[in-house]
Amino acid sequence: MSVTTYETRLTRVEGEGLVKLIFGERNIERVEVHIVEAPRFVEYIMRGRKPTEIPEIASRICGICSVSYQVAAATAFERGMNIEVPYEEESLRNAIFISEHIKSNILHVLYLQLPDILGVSSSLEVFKKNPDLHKMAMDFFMWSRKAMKILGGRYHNIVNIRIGGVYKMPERSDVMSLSVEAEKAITNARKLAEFVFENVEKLPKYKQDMKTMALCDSINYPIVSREICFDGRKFDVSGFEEEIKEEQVPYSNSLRYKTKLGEIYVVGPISRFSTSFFNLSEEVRRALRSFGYAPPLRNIHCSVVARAAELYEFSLRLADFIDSYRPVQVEAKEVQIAPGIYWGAVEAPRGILYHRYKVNEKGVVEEANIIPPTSQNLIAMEDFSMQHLSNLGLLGGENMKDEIAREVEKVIRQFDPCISCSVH
Amino acid sequence: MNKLRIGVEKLTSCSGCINEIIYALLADPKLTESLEIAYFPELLDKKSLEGQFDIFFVEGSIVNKDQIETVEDIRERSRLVIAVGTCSTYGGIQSLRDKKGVEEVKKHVYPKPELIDVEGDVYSLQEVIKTDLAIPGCPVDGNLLLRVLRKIAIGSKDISITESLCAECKRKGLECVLVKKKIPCLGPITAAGCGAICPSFGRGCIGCFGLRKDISSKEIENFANRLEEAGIMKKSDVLSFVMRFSYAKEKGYFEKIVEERGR
Repeated sequence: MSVTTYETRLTRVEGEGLVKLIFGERNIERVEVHIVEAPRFVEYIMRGRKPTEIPEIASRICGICSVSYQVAAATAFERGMNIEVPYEEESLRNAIFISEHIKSNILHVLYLQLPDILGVSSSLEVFKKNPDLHKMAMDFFMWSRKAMKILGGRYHNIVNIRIGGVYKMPERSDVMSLSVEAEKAITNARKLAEFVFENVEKLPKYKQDMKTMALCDSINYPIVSREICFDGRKFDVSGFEEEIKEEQVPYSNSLRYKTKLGEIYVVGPISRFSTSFFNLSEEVRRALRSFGYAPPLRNIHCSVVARAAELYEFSLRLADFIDSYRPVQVEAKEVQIAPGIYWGAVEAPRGILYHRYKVNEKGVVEEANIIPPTSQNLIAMEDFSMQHLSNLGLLGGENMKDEIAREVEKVIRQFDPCISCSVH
Repeated sequence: MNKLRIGVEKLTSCSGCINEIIYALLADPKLTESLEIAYFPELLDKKSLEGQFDIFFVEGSIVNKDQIETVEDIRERSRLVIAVGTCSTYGGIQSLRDKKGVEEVKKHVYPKPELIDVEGDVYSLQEVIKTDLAIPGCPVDGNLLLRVLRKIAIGSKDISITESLCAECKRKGLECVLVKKKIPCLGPITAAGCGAICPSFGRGCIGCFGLRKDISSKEIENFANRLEEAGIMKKSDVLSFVMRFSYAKEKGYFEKIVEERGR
């Protein structure tokens, strides 16, 4: 029996990965997502360093979602060492975090994914044909950039987060300078969301059986929480590693995860949407309903719907923060380091980001474990690719490899993989 | 006028600089008009390197043979190769695992370390090929990149200025956090370029733009001694701080420091 394979580099995703198609005699047998990017061993690098240094080092794991890493690390130590974060500083931190979600969603929807929806090969092509869309994308992009800069110091690897809160509350006048454009950003977010909702019509509609995992928050759409929601039950973040099973395969430099029972699960916007739809603003829910979207979303291609909805939601939340912003004096912070094990989790743009640190008697990190969302989604990427091909009836032979690869790449892009994170 | 043919490659990194490169390439529509973005897998569906390039931006550090081959190929095809960001310029934060025995390092992260294709130490781009320009920063400043691109587009060259971050604090009229507040700050030995972000947030410079090009290991040592004498920070902590972003700049020296510390 002849087995042939075909490999192609993943494009319009963050980082270096390949798709490998494995063909049997007639049909495609398997899809593999090869993570070929070289690992950086950040968990090793953290060893021997003080917890106060960790948010800064963790942030270098990802240039797109560095705030997620900073907040996950900072909250892990704060909760575990009973360090109180003043309300105003926490609000500012959340605003920076929300700005990061906005930035990441803009990058993904407009620069990476839009070409798939419109059937072209790059956003540059999309923009050439739609100058209005380009203008809107640029305005929105620049606003998120400005927000990150004013609140955090720069666009990524921001400098304003530490254990215990922030370093500085920016001047009210600087923050208010974001307000004028905030209205426009909300309009842009709504327009973009509507544009996406209208165009998703073109995407596949088959129903998938999907197990979703996400943080939950009783009031807000979740970004930071101690509770994880899975399969109709909740558990504390400290129990996360007991709920999942790690695996390593020869073709991936990223570790991969299933649930402890061996189930494939999904993290990310589609999971947040499905578990926390009712925590979205009334305005966003209404827009979604008018296009016929309600939870749960049962096709991975609807990730883009969740992402657009989040873009809208987070723009509203950031605008609220700006309008009610009141800076206070940031007090000096003396962090008393205690030995112990510390857990933290946040909803990074791509899903649950989990941190665990063991601090020893010398007050330095002895062991770190970081599980990024992309690593958790890798098995689902392969499984959903096969489901997709089967639903399209596109299982046939090697002569179809280009078309098959194109469809597989589309599925993978719906997860918005951040490969650098996965090989931290 | 012929369009400038641009390529962008990412090696071992966090992709933060990729965002800044996207910004620099797209922020000014007039400039974008004069460019042909010919290779940039993060942005385009083009899968392989073809033809010659006017400017190639390389982001990230180098850790295996494939990457060495890639950058050698890029060098042959390109008129100008620009190292973008601290990883590409000085190895970046991942170089802290340099010289620790890569097999040992792998064991700390992977249950099956033998499956991981990382061969040895961490190299900056400049250690592997000749670069025409290196622009550090973690992340690199997109506006700085934009200015360089504009200069090249009109046939000019970048003039590299070597000055400390301190100069930027002075220009901005910021109170010195090191002298006035005794907050550890790497400003005096760090390359300017970010606009003194950390001091403007009331904290010391973390050195993410890398050491000033003309700083020697002797001067790093002097600086660390001074901070210790002034009771601001222990010498070993200062050095451990400096090497986070500049390891490959003074590899021999930092290697010795780490050995002495015995960890």
